[in-house]
Amino acid sequence: MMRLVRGFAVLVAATLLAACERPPIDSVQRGYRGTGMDQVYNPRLIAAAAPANALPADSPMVPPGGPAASTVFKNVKVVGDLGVGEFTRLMVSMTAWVAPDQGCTYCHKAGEDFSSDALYTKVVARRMLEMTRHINTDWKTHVAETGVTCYTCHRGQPVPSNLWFAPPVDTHAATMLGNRAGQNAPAPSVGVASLPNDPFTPFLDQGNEIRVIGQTALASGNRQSTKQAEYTYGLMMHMSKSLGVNCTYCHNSRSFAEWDTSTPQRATAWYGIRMARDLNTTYLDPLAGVFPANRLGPTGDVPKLNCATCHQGAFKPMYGASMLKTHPELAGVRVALAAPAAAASAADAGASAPAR
Amino acid sequence: MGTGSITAYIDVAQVALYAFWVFFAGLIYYLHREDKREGYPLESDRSGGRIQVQGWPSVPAPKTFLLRDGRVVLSPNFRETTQTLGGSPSAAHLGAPLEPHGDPMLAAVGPGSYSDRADIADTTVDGDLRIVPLRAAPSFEVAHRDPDPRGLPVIGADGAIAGTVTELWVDRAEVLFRYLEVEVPAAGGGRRVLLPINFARIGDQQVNVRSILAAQFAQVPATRHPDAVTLLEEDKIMGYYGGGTLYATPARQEPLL
Repeated sequence: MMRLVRGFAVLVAATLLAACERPPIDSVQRGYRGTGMDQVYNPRLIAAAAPANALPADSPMVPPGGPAASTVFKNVKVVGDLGVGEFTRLMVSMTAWVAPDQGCTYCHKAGEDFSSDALYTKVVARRMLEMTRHINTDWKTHVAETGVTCYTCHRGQPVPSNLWFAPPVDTHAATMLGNRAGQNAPAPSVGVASLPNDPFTPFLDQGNEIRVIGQTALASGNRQSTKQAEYTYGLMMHMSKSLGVNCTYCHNSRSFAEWDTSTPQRATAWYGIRMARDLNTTYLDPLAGVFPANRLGPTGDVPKLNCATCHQGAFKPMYGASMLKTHPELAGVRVALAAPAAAASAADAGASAPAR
Repeated sequence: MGTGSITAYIDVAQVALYAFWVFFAGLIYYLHREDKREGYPLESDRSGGRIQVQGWPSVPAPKTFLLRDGRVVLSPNFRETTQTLGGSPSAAHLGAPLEPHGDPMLAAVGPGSYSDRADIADTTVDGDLRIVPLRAAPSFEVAHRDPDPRGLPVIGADGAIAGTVTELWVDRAEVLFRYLEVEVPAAGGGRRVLLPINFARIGDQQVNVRSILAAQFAQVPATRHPDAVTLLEEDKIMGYYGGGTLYATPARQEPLL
C-alpha cells in the first residue's frame, strides 16, 4: 500500500514538473535597465534547434552570361533573363530545396518535354518564383538584404511545415456550451491560449485593423471592443511564438500601442504583416484553381503563409543567414535582362557581357 | 474633449480618485480610533500622570457590549489592574526592561504575565460549562484513528517524567480538546494540573512539553473546581507555561552570542 502511494506521489511530481526547464538560462537585455525588456532563452533548446536552422549545402556558382534562358528554352516565363548555366543551377537548387526526394519529376512530368505545364506543381513553382523575386526586391523593408529562397519555407519538403488554412465553420448552435465562436479551446496557433484561434484570416489574409488602443486618455470615438483586442492578442501570440521571442522584443508592455517606446523590430514586423497579406492575397489565394483537392484546407481554401512559415521559431529565418549572395538571380538583379528587347540584345551579344 | 471630461483638465476619473482618497483617509482615521479601544491611554513615564497620552486620533467614546449572562462590558473601559507588578526596571533610564522579583516562574511578568479576565467559567450557548473534562461530558471521546494520550507519561523540557495524563478537557462549543489533565506526583498523594494542548506534543508513547521542566509542573496554577476552569484560571495556566519559554532555565534568558 505504501509503495503504491509512494509511486503515485512520484508520478504526480513528475507530471507537475514535466514542463520545467532547468537553469542556467540565457537572457538578452533589449531595453533600458529596469524595464524588464529581456529575451529569455534555454541554451539547450537553442542548440537542439540549430541544425534545423542551418543553411543547406549549396552548389557552386556558375559564371553568368551565355544565351538567355528565354531564347534557348521554349516555355520560360519568369527567369528567362538568366543565362543557361545559371538557369540550370537554379533548377538544381530548387530540386534540393523543395523536392530532394522526388527529384525533377516532382514538377516536370516524366516522359514529356521539360517545357510542359502538365503538372500543377510547375504552375505553382512558377508563381512561387515570381513571389520570391517580389519579396526580395519589393519587401526589403521586411527581409532587408537577407532575402528569402525556396528553402526559407520549404526546408527540403514539398509542403512547408508551417502553413495555415481557414478553420471549418463551427456548426454547433450558438448557445451556451455549444458554439465556441472560434475561441475557448487550447489552440497551438495562439500559443495554446484560449484566445480566438484563427487570427490569420482577419489579419494576414484580410486587412482588418489590428490596433485597438485609443489615441486619447478619455473616450473619444474608439469603438474597438475587448473581443477585437483578443483577436489582436491572438495574432500577437502567433508572432511571438513564430519568432521565439516575447512581447518585449517589439514592445514596451506599459504601452503596447506607443511607437516611441517600441523597439525597431516593431517597424520590421509592421512591414512583415503587410508582406504576409500581400503574398497571401496576390500569390497564394489566386492559386485556388491550381491545387488538387488533397492540398486544400477543410473549407477548400489554398494553403497560406504566416510568420511561422519562414521564421520557424527563430527571430530571423535561419538566424539571419542569407542565400542571396550565392543566388542573386532570386533577388531579381537580372531585371534589366527581363525585357524581351534586352533579352534579344543579350542573345546577340552572346557570352560577352552580363547586363548588370 | 472626450467622454467624461469636466473641464479641459479635470475629468470624472480624477474626481473619482480624489473622492476615494478622501473616503480612504476617513477610513484610516476611523480604523485608528477603533484601534484604541484597548490599551489606551498609554502609560507614560514622562509626565507623571498629568497628561493623558493617547496620540491622534483620540480614544473613542466607550461602546457597550451586553453579554449573554447580563453583564455589561465597556470598550474602552479604562480599568486599572489589581495585580501588583512582579518586577522592577533593570536600569534608571526610560524604557528599561523589567527584572522579575523572586522566582521568575511565579512573578507573572514578561512571557509569564496574565490579564485580569473574569473569574467565571465560559459557557456554551445553552449555559452549560464550555470546557470540561471528558468524565463530565460522556458524549465526547477521542477519535478512533488518533492516539489517545490518556495514560501516557508527560516529559518535561529536561527529559524527565513530570507525570501521567489522566484526562482530556474538551471544548463542547467548538468540539476540540483544549487541555490535558496531568497527574503530578506530590507530597499529599498527587496533584492534578492542566496542560494546554498547544504546549504539548502528543506522541504514540509519550507527551512532550518544551516550555517547562518536569519539576516545574508542581507549581502550575490549580483550578478551584476539579471539573471547571474559569477564564482567569485559564489565563494564569497559560501564563505559567508561557513564562517557562523564557524562565524555565537560566540559559533561556541568555543571548545566543
